[in-house]
Amino acid sequence: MLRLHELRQHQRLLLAAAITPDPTAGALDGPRPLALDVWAPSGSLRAMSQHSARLVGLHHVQLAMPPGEEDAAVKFYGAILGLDQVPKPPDLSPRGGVWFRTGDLEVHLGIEDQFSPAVKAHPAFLVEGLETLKARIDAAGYRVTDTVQIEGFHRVYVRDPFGNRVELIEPA
Amino acid sequence: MSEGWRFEGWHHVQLAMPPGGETGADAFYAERLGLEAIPKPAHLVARGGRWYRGAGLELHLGVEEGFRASAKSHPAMRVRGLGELREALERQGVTVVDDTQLEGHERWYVTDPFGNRLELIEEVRA
Repeated sequence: MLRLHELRQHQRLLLAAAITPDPTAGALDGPRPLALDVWAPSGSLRAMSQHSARLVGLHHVQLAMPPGEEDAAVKFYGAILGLDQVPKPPDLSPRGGVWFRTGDLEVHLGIEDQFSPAVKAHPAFLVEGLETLKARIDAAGYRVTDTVQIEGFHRVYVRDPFGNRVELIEPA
Repeated sequence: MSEGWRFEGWHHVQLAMPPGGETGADAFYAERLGLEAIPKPAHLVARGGRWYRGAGLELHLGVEEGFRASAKSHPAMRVRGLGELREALERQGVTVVDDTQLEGHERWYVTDPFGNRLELIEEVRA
């Protein structure tokens, strides 16, 4: 399978060929790649940040954890929050860590040797049934913390077993 | 719904940045990645930081005193036109870092102006 960036490189070469005058070519009416406008060099009409690529959602969020703590991750994200553990691809499993998924939401816990928890940065999980989940987290011995509210939502924070901040938010 | 609650998706992902990073954040997240800056709720404005939204994704840059970049943890953002985005970023001098590929996907990493790691990923058909 041709990788996308290889394909793009190929398209760039086509573009370069189209721009460079070819002494054997007749005139300006030769074939040009369709992607010409996209691949015009910076400084031209489609300069710098103007491109038609766009971000269309979140594929996953990766949080860090210290080595050897996979069991704690499975207990918190799997048993308490109720996410399904999914197998890591074989070529990534030697790195350690655990992946979780439910519906369209995927969380990866990745090993970091010099780990320190994310105390400010965090993912915010959109929850239905926040009160029930809060009670469950509380019963498991984790502290659920209220914070400044956003209009139309109720939200709380909890720290995972490694100290990473996690937000749980529900439309009010 | 498992026993009374379920996760419907991501509401947002917050990344940290140092105080005064708003201009650098706009240059990267709005101008380079094409996200739309959206106003923060009035009662949260005093904290600084910037919020951005794209299709199906909301990213918050929050100010952290004693900021340290996230070198490992990261959000992975789905892209349509990943190769084109790569070309555009590389033309602007942004370093793109490859990693082990996931089956059925093309992906790579960049760091934002503060050193936070970001993954850009697109599903590809074999």
